[in-house]
Amino acid sequence: MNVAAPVIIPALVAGLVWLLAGQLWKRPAAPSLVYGGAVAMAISFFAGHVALVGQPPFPPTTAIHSLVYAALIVGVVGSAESIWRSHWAPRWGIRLVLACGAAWWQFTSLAEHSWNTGQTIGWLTTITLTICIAWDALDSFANRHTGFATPLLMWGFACATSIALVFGASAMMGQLAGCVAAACGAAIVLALWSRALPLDRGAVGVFVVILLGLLWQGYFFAALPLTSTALLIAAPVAIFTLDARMPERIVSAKRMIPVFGSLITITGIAIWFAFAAYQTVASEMEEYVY
Amino acid sequence: MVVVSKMASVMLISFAAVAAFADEYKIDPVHSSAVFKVNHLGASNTYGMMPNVTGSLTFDKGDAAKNAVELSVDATSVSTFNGGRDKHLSGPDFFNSKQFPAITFKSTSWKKAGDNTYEITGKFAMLGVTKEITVTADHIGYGKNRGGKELTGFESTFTIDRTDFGMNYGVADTGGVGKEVTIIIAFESVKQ
Repeated sequence: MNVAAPVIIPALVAGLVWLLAGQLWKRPAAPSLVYGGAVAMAISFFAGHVALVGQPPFPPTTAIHSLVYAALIVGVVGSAESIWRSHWAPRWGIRLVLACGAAWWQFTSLAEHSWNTGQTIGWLTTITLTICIAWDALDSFANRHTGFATPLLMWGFACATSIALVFGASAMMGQLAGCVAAACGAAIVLALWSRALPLDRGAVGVFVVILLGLLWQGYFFAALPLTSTALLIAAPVAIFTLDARMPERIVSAKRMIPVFGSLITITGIAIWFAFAAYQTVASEMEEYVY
Repeated sequence: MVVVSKMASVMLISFAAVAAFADEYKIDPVHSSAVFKVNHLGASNTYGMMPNVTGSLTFDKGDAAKNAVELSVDATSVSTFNGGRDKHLSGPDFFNSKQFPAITFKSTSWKKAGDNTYEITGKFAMLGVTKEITVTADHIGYGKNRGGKELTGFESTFTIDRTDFGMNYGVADTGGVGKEVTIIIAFESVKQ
């Protein structure tokens, strides 16, 4: 199986789009930057899907296809909320609509065949709120830290999600999360090149919709344990809360130690639960390797 | 003369009624199953099974045009006798059975192709994609169950390209899991 292309292609696409987004190093406050970050993340995910399993059909037939197109929509529409970021009402309004739409689009088959009305309302509300809260947490973190801190955090989160999904019985979804990690890797390289670049603006929303979409799909459609799903979904919120509660006198570099320490701890526990569940099945039978 | 004529009419009508209606059968999931075979890494073939097949059959041995079959295979019942692999196969990479719990076939036309062989064309649906396929099916025979009900059964072997249905994961030029999947469906049905 081709492992390299789904990693290299999203990284190259993301880096290229970021660089082309209105000469971002010259005008770091320009809206084109916000737009560029969101579109870079969405298009790189699309490119990763094409490299891994081909072009998703439209209209989408599976939840993964829906997620790819939802990411593109969030990439275009979601960047607008970052442009109007000073007004909380349109910002939250757009986020709620996008998150709810993405949730409905991905899980409509469960709503039609498996869930009753109460479960549909309950789960869609839960998924929508988790996307909005994680989006807000990561966006707030990105506001507080320039440079490569946020792309590095996103990369770590995407890598952990990827590993957990592979143990959660979906190598494809794990690799798709790996595509997101590759795009974040491109952002880290660009951020190291110019620390002033707010690469995460706009991209954060698309990133959250994709990663939480993969996690919830991993729980509902694959075999990702609920504990792992919940821990990984809660990780961005926990990290932002920790960072926000730290005294301001602690300088940026020192703040990163507990931030990344907690990321490693929370995601590590999540991966351990996924691995334990995988081992339970694998130990029943002879060894099974994809 | 009038009585004879009336009797002849009644007999003709009765005969026509019998000839007009094919027998209705219900698929017995206990004695029906779907088996599949797929190439693994170019080296060998791996077999799997979906033991839960349900549906209905309308069958007239004398007139294939009246025949119809509807099958539903429970994709959640996939078994390759390896727990880890079954979990992977059930997931989004392959059968995605929580999202698409059934693989279905509904015939649109039957043609007699031999004494006990039929060419059946119909709609095969998997992973939310429906394609028209034509399969050759053998009529195995008739029997009776313990309750005295008439049984009949069919078996068909056919091949699909899984990528036609969006099952693209793991397909690669240099190996992986084969594109072509050979499926054997064998079912027994009980006359209603």
